[in-house]
Amino acid sequence: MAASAQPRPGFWSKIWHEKEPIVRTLIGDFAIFIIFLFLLTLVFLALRALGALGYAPARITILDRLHFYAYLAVYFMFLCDLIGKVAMYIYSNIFGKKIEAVRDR
Amino acid sequence: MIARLYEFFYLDRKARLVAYGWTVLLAFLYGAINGVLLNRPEERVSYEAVVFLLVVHLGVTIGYSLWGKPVRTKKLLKRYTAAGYRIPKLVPYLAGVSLLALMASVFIPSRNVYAAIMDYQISKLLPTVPNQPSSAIKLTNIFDTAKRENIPISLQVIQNAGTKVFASPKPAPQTWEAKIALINYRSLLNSQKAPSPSIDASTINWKAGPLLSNPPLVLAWGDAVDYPADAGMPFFITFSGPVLPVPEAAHYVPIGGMPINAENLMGPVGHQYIFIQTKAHILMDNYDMQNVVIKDAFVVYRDNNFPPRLANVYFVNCTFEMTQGPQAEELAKALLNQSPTNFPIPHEP
Repeated sequence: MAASAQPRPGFWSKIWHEKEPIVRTLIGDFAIFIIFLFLLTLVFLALRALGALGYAPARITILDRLHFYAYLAVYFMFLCDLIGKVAMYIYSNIFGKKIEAVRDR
Repeated sequence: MIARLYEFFYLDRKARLVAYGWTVLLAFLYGAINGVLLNRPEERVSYEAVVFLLVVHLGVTIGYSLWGKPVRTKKLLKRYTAAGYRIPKLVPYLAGVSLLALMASVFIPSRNVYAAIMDYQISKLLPTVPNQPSSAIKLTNIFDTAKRENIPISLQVIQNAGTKVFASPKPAPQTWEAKIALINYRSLLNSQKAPSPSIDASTINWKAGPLLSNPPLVLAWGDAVDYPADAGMPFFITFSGPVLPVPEAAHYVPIGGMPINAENLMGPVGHQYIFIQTKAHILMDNYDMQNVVIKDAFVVYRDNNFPPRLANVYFVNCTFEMTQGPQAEELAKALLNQSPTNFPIPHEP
């Protein structure tokens, strides 16, 4: 008799096994983006609170502009990263062998 | 090279974070220096900062794929297996809390929180407003911000502020600015009380400029618009409500000027309301307004020797520019305390 056969992995389990590294990377990077976004939102709320407390609008405008450029940089960095990741994912599906070579190094 | 790019985007987390951190910092500095220090236009600097970020990002990824140290991928991949790879412990917790907080900030009406802060701050400032210039400036800033951000300050606080700033016989000069800020904010609240045009109302769209100084219909504007920067700005003028005899009908004419519609083919009648919506300046000096609703305009009162006559006039979301003087003080009081505004304030028998 053959040794007790291990249950064959199901459809979803196969897909998860294949995609897990990619999904983990995506989630990890997204988590960092969310933290940055949250910090920037805190700054935004703090600026509005300063306005509500009667802080000079001219100064708040300067801080607001700095805050805007920080938002801009973080958003576009996330976007570039996402585009790069998607492009690499598509490429790896088409030219899988080259990528395998990297993985096996 | 492509395989190295894959490595960069998916495997070499440390290199990626370092590269992204520097790229974000450089793009931010580019924006901050150009936008704030050099005061260049925001739109242009934004485009440049994005292009700058793209170029640095491309440079970094290409540089990595050409000269970066290859990571020991097999070893790294082991960490990605179910038993192995872990994102640093704190990151998922922080991300979860951040996500929840971001969602909360969307759903919790933060305007109400700011309103509460403002209510408190105004109440604290009021005792010192009439005499201390710094308090008056702070009060002005608060009401300007509240109007700009549409923050709902409580009516009770507004009334208290009105009583206080108008009460002092010898106020600090800065108090006038506070009064104007207060009536500007008050006019924001008038939107709830002002009537709306009826469905069958007819609207005329005029452009500010020479045409408006001699309009073809019922409004005698005279010199109502003489701000060059306003040229070409639209005036939406709507006549609404039932047609009434002249004494009850809406009008906006110089005091002592020709009564509304006197030369109109319809005879001496007019509509119940006139609605004027514009972002241009309109003048109140020596004008007789009745049943008029003015929206979004810069309302100017320059000469205290020529007060307007207002009867049932609504100023909605308007910004006032008034020269300080005895008549202007009275007018400001009327604008603060009444909606609709009547001026001179009728004396009670």
